[in-house]
Amino acid sequence: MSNINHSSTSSSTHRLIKNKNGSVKRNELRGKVVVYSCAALIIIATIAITLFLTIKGLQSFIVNGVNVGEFLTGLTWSPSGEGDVSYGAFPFIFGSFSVTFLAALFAAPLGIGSAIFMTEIAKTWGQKVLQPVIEILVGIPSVVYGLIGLTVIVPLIREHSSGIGFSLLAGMIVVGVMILPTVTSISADALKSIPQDIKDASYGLGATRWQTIYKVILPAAMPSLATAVVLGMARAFGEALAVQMVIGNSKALPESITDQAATLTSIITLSMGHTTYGSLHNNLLWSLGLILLVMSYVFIIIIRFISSRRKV
Amino acid sequence: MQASDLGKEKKEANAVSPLMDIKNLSVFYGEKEAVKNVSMPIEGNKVTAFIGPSGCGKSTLLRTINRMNDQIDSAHYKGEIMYDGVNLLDKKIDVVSLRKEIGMVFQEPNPFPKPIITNLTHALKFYRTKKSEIQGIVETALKQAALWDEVKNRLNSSAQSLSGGQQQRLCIARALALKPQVLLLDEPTSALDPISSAKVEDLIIELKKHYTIAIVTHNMEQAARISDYTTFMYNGELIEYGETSRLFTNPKEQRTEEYLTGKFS
Repeated sequence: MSNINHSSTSSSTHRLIKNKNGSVKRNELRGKVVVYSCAALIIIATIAITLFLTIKGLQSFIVNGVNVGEFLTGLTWSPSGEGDVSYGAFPFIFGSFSVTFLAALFAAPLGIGSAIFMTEIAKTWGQKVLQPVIEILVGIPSVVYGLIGLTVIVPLIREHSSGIGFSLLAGMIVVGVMILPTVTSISADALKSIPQDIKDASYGLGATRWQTIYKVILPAAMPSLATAVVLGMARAFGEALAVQMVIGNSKALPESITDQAATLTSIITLSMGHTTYGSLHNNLLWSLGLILLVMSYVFIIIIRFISSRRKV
Repeated sequence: MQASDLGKEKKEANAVSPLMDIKNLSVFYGEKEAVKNVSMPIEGNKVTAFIGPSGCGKSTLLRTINRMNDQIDSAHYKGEIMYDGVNLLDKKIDVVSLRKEIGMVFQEPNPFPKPIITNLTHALKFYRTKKSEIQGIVETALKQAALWDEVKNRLNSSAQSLSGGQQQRLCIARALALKPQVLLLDEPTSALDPISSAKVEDLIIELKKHYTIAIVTHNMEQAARISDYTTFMYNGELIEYGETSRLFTNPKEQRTEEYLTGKFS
């Protein structure tokens, strides 16, 4: 490498000054434009959807004069009837939240448990068998979960309870199974990212495997595990099809876990098709959609909050 | 659980036989033989240093003593490590009690991301130590690790707010809190600055009054400064073992001499 020709380079002032018209510069610009427009598109789409849903969702309150308090807390829902209309959405709000929390209650212990099994107990087996199984579970369409719930879980509940089988409980189980892979895989990633150092430290002090998992690994991974559960809940909250197939879609408030219920999503998917655009009923469905959007923002804020605490 | 009361009679026996006797030890990772047929004693209340180039098996050997290699599925052993009449590699050994008695400090300071005091009480709680005793044990361990004066007013602040050197001394204190017989130190100063390293070295010299110490180091000067016995390993084999003063001034093996004079590393 001794024969590099230094004399061919021009004076350093020329060499190092920004070249305004070079091809390198043009390439840089092209790349910049592509990347910037991708980012802009996503931001515009998010803002547009939010704005659109907000405008549509507020119309029932502004144009049709629906009382917000009555909408959020009222118990009867018959928005399309002649004459006497009532628009209490509380049963659906309650249904959505119950399904979400019950599903999380079901999926969190199972998901975190299997994540621990995968990452700490049977590492090779877990990664070879459990990981693909979970990936397959993620890929199964929600209608399939709904069908299985309809043919297996609903009859099972019918036999063992006084209800007709279509129930909050069925919704909880189906949605719980649906969000299980989400919770498991994010939890597994969280547990895998705990440094080996800390595990070694614990084992080196004569801790057993369970003591290490319980006292060191789980506390260190807690914020990420919480994020996993909240992400699962966000998915449960938005799930429509499978829930609608098993929950019974009753418009009344459920009295027990084996009662029929309805969720915000299931009411929207059931009714949106046969309402006229611009009618009160249609506008009210948009308002339900707005609640869903607000809740998804709330979930994101919760996740942000949890992960910002992790950095401390 | 033989291992938990192993140590008591040991003290008297020290004068005649070594605390620990490694006999024909080979350690394998799958097919690869990382430690090859090593035999050597580890003397009680002395510092034994393991030196040698990277990958020579010195850390593996150290981690075999308290069975940390059990974590790795493919690791298996041949030979014996005799300690107080039992073979530590025996399947019947309770590794939990063993690790309590033979403590370990790692290369990177690895305190738990918890308050300083919790780092020390963490393991004590596993052994159902009485609450009334914990305070005393914490103080003694921190004093032994020469950290007490620096942290006594902030025992409840996070261990991660300490400097690297303080963290490493905290890790040593954490091991001492369990009142071990032996301390295994795996390159304890390699991640530290010279001043912190010097403090840890002083600490090791101080600690050998009460503990038997085995230290892996890639720093030959450090081995010369703090150890009583030195083992030079190369390529998984034990090349030479002897008193540090003799080994450094008058090595018997040519490869030891070449390594010490920097002809290879």
